[in-house]
Amino acid sequence: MFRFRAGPLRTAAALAVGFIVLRVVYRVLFGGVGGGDVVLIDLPLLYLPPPFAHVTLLGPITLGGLGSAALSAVPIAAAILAFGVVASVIDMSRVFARGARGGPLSGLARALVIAWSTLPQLTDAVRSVRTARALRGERGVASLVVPVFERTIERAVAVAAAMEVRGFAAGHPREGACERPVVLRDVSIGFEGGGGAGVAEPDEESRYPGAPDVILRDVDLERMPGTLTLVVGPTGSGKSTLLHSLSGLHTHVDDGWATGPIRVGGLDRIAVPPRDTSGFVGVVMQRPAMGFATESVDDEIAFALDVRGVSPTIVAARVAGVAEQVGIRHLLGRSLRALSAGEASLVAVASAVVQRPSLLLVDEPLADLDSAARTRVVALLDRLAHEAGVCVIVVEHRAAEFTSVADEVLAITDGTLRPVGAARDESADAGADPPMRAVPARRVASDLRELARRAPSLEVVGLSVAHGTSVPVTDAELAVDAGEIVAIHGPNGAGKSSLLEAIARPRRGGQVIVGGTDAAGLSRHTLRARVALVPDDSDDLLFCLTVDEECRRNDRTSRLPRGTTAGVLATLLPDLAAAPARSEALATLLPDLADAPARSEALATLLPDLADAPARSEALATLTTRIPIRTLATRTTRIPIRTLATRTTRITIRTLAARTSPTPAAPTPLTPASRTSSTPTHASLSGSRTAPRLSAWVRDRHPRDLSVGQRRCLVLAIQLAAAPAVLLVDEPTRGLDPVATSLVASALRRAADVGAAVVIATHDAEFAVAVADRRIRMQDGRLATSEAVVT
Amino acid sequence: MTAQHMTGPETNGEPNAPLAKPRRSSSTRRPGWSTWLLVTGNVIAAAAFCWPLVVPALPQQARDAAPIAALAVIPFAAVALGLALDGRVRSAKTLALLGTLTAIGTATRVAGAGVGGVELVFVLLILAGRAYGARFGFLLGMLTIALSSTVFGGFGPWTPFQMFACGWVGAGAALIPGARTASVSPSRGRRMREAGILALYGALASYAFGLIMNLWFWPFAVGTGTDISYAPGAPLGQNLASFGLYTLVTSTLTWDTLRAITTVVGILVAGPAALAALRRAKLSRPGRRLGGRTPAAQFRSGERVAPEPAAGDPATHLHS
Repeated sequence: MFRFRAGPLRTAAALAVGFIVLRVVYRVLFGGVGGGDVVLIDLPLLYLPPPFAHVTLLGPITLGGLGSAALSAVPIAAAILAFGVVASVIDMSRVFARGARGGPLSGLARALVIAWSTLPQLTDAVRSVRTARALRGERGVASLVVPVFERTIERAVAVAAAMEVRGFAAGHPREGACERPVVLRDVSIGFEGGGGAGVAEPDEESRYPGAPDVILRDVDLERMPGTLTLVVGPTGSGKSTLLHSLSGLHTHVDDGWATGPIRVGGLDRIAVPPRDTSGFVGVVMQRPAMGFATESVDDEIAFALDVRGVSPTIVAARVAGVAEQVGIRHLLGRSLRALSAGEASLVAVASAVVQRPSLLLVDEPLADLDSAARTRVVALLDRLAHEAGVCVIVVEHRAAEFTSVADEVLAITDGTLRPVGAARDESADAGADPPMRAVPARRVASDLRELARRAPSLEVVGLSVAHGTSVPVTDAELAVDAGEIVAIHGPNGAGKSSLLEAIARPRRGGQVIVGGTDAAGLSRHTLRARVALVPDDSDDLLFCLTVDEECRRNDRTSRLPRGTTAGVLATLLPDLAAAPARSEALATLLPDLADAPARSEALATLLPDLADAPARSEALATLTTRIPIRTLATRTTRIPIRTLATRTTRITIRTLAARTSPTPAAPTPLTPASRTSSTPTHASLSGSRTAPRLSAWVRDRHPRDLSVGQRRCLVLAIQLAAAPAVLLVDEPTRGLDPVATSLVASALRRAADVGAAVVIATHDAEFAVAVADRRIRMQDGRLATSEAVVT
Repeated sequence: MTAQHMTGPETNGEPNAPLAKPRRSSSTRRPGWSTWLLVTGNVIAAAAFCWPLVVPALPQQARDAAPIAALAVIPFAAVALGLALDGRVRSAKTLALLGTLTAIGTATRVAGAGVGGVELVFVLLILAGRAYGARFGFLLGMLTIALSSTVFGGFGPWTPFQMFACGWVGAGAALIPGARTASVSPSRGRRMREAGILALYGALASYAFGLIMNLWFWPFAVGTGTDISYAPGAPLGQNLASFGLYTLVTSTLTWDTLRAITTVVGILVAGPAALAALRRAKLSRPGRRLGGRTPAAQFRSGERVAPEPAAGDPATHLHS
């Protein structure tokens, strides 16, 4: 409650002095310092016209007058100082925290607690948004304000959900029957209006184009106490929606609907809001640190008990007990700010189980964690289910980690929930995880690589980064060729992100040479055009109201021809409706090429005479993703593409275009002449001559209404539009499921194929192996020697 | 949406709290104690702001007590309004938004403190008030001042006055009629029109804020003994003239103008996008069915005609 802080006292002292000075100044100005004996300065009197006739300005300044003016201000100045003393000894955050526990002003006190705990996050948000907008070459107010706003609102929504499921403002707390935690019979779940909703849905996955009203149909599910159930499925399939139809957030907070009986602990979920069932339903939200509603680990774990009005001694005992059970005793008493992502997850679990729930719902607990933290979380959930007898339901696309502990694995495919067997001890992948087939593997034809290569595009010499005493990057040496993808991998905190940032915005401490020029000598604009970085929180780069505005704005900022960014985006998101299906179709059409990138590479080699990269990438996209590939494939079956490629036969773009498109000789840009009938929105554009176009659906969308994978592609498109020589991507797969991952992977591959040197930082080892030509391990700020990824 | 805004967070708060619903509707029909408290609190606060002008109307023996009374009464008015509004913002989402936006307000206020008159906090208050309604805007203004004063010092007798003045700025934005749009992405024309209206309001609010903050503080700031001092016994005209000169010299031409400019520029630059961001996280969605889906949605998806009501559950019957 009490502690001393000098800040408020200092401010108060400054204000008090300022007050006295001001009063003296007023008196001097308005003729109030006369009347003393000693005249210091004899200023002339000035009279004002009516209505100010009673006012005279200036006049003689006397010592006595000054003294009495100053003295007259002392009482109020003392009052100001007194307030300062009070403010400096009372720990207001504790006062707010106490007020929030109950009483007549608890609502506002709660808002202040949230505000207090949001303040430090805000500083971080501003910092990373500033970095992000610099990366995009933006300087305006909007590019700073809007992403900070979006982040804040995102936090508000997360906090609200996390408070709701822990019983905040519960009107009529209910008890559940713990012998039947979950019973769903023939349930359908969805969103009204097909998922065009706002951030109000934490389940942002369900926003694929034309997402149907119904997310899941005919769900039958019954789970018993003491079981751990894993639900898997691709992004947007409705995993989180299913989870939150059980938590109640789906129908009560996210504006979703559900039919059929959803019984949670015997209660009707549709009738009983989440806050009333917090006593027996524990929920761990995605990215739990976003939803922390308090400041300290203890308060966070105790939240559910505090809002129920449990007495402080019982709360303290219970918190200690839960911390012991979860294995985070050492974290008690710490500030939530100081926690790592893994620790934050454990605290979130602890705060969800503090009321000993009979049902625990966990949403993507492993998303941001490194492998050590993942193991701990999996082990904890295993113990809760199989030792404490909790019914645990986990939604996760990292299925492999859970298969050894899950009693049952359920997969969502095409809106239905199906069991995929996989009892415990059976390490079968269950086929639930869509195979990473679409993730481009390494290129097959190594001779092609030589052809695509130019001089090393990026050279990093002796680069070090120091923030105060810590040195995140020490003496990094790196050379990346054009067309090469290098993956830097290593544990959290190894300095990967710092390295990428230092390459993108070189300062002192080493040399970054881009295409033979020292980057330090480049202007801001040129540097941004040559080196593009997609940061970890890639959404920070987005701040416009629609995708279309976002693209046009980027064209202007980067001084590109109108439509460039949109064109690049169109190539990265070839077909929003059916991208995976199409790439599958392509794979069957071109069976003699093992994987997609090889195919693009072959094509890239075939089309070298397109001088500038964006045009080439557009042309490529047209060739590889639109229907012409079908034509191309059939046309070239006589000569297998591999042969074509290895022979490096130079077929001019003109010839290819003439061959592949029914429109006669459209040299460049290529016209996506024919489309599949499955995409009517595209068909209407088919007459246009401006190469890949975005569908109207995407153009008019709010950027944040796109799926995670699509958003990342949008940011990639923004950063790729200027055809940079170097593309740096931090954690390209964070939060992405296999399908979205493959979308990003092929985008990276395309960037490399058109001649960019690509460096990614990732802790996703599988992805690094799949997409990169070389891998370099980074630990404690040092780069190891690179390991070639062998075929 | 208009009705939603006018009735404020009470109806905005938790759209689908079946058990809370009956209580809610009864309190909107009859003005309850909290409504009276709300009105009384604001009137008392307004009177406290205007105390120098009210004094001549008071009996002689009450005049000396007036400044003390004004200083003493306003914290009580602030607490009373807090009490009146607290019960209406108990939903998790309203509080979470209130809290996070208060944090933004606090940060902008503190960041702007070094640059005289650059009060970007008005931009936030006006936009949030516009998006979430008068009560939300009012509370946001109050909490922003309360938090920024406690976190970074500068807490003093003026703090409750600032809280009220900022609260009124936020509430006022919600009460401007016309050009209201509930849509997340309205047409460009409507967006710009709304931003224009809000910018105009922001300019006026900046001056009005300076004026009323000066009005109550002027006698304290200047003290006695100058020609623009407050004279309790003097005619109203003379006091108004003195006050006019004081406020013109000390703030209208300087701080207030700077504040008006920054507010207008801020609203025009960040307004449309920030409003869209705020509205995307709407506090409620009007016309929703609780729990069940709308008949239209059922029809569209070709599903069964009506959700099965859970037997014996009054809440479900209420909304199906």
